[in-house]
Amino acid sequence: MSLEHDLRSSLQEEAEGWSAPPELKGRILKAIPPGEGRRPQMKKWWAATILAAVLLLPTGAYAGYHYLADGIYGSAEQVVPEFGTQQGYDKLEAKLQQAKERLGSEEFTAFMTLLEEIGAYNLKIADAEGKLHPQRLSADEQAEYNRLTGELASYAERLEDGAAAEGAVPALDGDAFWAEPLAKAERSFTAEEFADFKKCVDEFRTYASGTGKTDARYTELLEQLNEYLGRLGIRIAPGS
Amino acid sequence: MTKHPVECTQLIELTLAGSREAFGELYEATVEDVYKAVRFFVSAPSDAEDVVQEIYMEVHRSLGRYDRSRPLRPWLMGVAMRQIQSHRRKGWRQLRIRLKAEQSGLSIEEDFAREVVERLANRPLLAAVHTLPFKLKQVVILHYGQEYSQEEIAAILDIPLGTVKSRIYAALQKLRRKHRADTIRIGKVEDLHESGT
Repeated sequence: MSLEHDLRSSLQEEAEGWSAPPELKGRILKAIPPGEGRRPQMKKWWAATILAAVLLLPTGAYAGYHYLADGIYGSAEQVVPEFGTQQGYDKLEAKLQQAKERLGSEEFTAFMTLLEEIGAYNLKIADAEGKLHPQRLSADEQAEYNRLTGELASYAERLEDGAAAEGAVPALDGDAFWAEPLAKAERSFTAEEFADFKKCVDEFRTYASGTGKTDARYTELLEQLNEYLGRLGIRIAPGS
Repeated sequence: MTKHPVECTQLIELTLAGSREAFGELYEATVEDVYKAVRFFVSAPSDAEDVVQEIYMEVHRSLGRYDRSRPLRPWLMGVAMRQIQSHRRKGWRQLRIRLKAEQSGLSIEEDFAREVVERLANRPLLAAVHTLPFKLKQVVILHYGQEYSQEEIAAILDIPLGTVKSRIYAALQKLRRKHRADTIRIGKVEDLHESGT
């Protein structure tokens, strides 16, 4: 036993001072050919699942900083390079946010689980272009898949109804949405507060109309704005 | 490896999605183990760096085939061991030394083991490990130097567990015999000195 002990201590002692030079990392990363090592079927999966969600859920205006889609896909940073655009991810997110608002938290959880289950099936039956072929499933799986999509369709109908009843939600980058709060703020805030509020609104609108909703600054702005808006009795919640 | 397995899985996902930064982080999280393993087999630091580079290039190429339900560390060490073996086969080092020696007119250094053994003259056990046949040295380094279990070594080297056990046993036997022979030799030298006085 003492030989084993001696071996362990002398080998580990010998290796103690060995460490890779810091510049080696850069050398290795530089030597990796671009585009190598990617997994092609990832794209297929995003495409198939997002396709299902986008086709079945109604559209609506959206602004938010917490991505519900992250729950399914990990994060926007992970999907965007693979799926294509931040707008594409936002579109899916908008639909999910809309669904969350209309369904209530318990049902929404069930709905997200359903989407994930369907996503897993879609992965199996999607071809390289993201087209779905349910006939590739076994008879039992097909029955289950039909049940799941049927369930999703019933959600979709309810969401469509909800969307029609509520009408269009004003866009957060549009003048219509901001006219009233700005007028109210001018009346009730001090001049200094109003100037700061206006500055926040202008900056926020550039974000709401474009990309960059994952920026830390965007989250910060939303918080700052909500502080002012709270005093006016308004709140921009993720998904409004 | 200091990162939690879940973090490593995320880094692998991101790498597969095309993120070079994620691969850089994965490198940071694993390189210490890999570099040390390589240095046990490739003595010259500059050669060791070349081998480490080959290992990570291979890891990047084959990451898509890695089964994430299995632990990362042994898989990575498996890639490392194959690269070390291929480095040995190619005999880069010998070739380079021969060329350098020819250019500078120095005598040719034939054996890596001899060089290490001389350096370790005052640490006989380490010197003895370096004189073991490659396959035995491999299991000793992995088990005692890097604390891999016998099961993990079987996975790393893609050999049966029984073979790992018998190689460890054979290596220990050889080291014991060597140790005994050294002790006897030292004893004899001491006797000689004593009888001479």
